[in-house]
Order: sequence, then C-alpha cells, then structure tokens
Amino acid sequence: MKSTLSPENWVQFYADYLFSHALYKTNKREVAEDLVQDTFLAALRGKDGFKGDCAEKTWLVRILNNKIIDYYRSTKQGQDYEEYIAETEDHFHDSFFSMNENARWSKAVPFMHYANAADDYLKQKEFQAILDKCLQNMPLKLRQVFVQKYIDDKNADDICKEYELTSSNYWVIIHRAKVLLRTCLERNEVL
Amino acid sequence: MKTILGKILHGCQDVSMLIVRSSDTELSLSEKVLLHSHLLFCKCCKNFIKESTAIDKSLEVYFKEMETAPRHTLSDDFKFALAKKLAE
Repeated sequence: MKSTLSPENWVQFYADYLFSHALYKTNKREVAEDLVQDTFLAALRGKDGFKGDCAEKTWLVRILNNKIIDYYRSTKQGQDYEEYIAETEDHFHDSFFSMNENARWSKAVPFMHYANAADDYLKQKEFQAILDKCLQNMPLKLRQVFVQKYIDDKNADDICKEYELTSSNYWVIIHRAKVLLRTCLERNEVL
Repeated sequence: MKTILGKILHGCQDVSMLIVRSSDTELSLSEKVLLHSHLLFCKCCKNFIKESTAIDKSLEVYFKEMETAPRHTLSDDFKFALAKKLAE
C-alpha cells in the first residue's frame, strides 16, 4: 500500500517527534526549532518527489537528517573528529582507567541490576528520565553519533559516511559514549 | 608489564573496546582470544559486557517510546506559527 502525504497534519503529528529527534543531535532549542521548520518547508516544496514507498514520518525524518548534516557542514561546528578524539584521549583515559601501560578500570565496575531488568523496568518513567539526563550530559560530539545508532537504527557504515568518520574513530566514539553513560547511570543510582 | 600476559590481566581499556565492537561486528581470532582470556580474570569487564548489552536494549526501548511520547516538546505558539506557514 502506498502512503500519501497530508501536510495539514504534520505539525500536530510529527513536530514534537522531529523536535526531540533534532535536540539529541544538536545542543540548542533554537537550532532544533529551525531544523524542524526547515524540514517541513523543504518537505512541502518537495512533496511531488514523495514516492509513497515509505511512511510519511520516515520520509520527514530522512529530510530532517539531511538538514542536520547540512547544518554541521555549513557551520563547520568545532573540530573534526580526528582532532577531537586525539585532544580528549588523555582526559578520557585518566577519568576511567589507571595510569599503567595496560589500563585497568580505575574504579570497579559493579554489577548493576538493570542489566538483567525486564522491558517493564526500562519503560518506567524514572529510568527513562535518568537516561535522558545522562544523554543530555554527554558531550555533543559523542552524542550525535551515538544516538544515530539507536534512533534511526542505522548501521555503522552509514553513520561513518554521514559524519565522515573512519571506522576506528566510530568505535572510539561508541566506546566512550557507553563508558560515560554507564558511569552516569551508576552515579544516579540506577540499580 | 608490556607482555601479552599484562594485556590479558590488565587491559581493561582495550578489552572494553572489544566488548563494544563485538556487539555489532565480528572480532578477529586474536581479539577473541584476548577478550575471553581477560574475562577469566576480570569481573569488572564481565559486568561491563552485561551493561553494554543493557544500554543497547535500554536505548532501543527509550527511542521506541519517543515515537509515541516525545520527551521534548515545542511551544504551542511555535507550532501555531509553523502550521500557519505551512498552510500559506
């Protein structure tokens, strides 16, 4: 079945979703607002190009993602990843691992019960609020790549292409993001 | 201790990276050997495996929930103005 577009419902149905989506990949409300607006306007202009082979929402998310990438390319936000990773390497290491050549965790990694928790627990408001807070605390450079993996269910190759990353830098980012996230969850006493 | 043994006993930083990669990609044979021998000694990395998997699952659930209940919302004024712009 082919899907069709109904622009008159876009704001009501998708604006908050696209806005949340954009907020995880940028840092500022104003930027995310502009991106949502640009997405809808571009979609409206390009609506004849919609072939109906995917859901309306999926199509809008695709346009939003292109807008986000354009935004980063045009603003040349900060350094590229090669530089960023090199510069923050020591800080990351010193924060989580011991100083030796072969680095052990500097603080024990305890067993946390959410690791065995059922979906019901993961869906609870309290848990989700902490997860949200921990994601917001994560440096943007890490977060925007990290969330791609889950929010759009993208594979590593596609994300590397979009963000012009080497595969080894991609894994460095995912690794750091996970270490930060688990530490934040522990600190917030998620059990 | 720069030896292989040193790596097996103490290389949590490298090993945790292997753990993260292994959820999406196939590790090489030598990487697998390093990972599994390290895990024989290191409870922390064993816990990290469980957490890494739990984080994957949590975020899948989290973003799926966002489909129906966006956590961040635009103001009504902004939405009103936007809808007007689209209707023009």
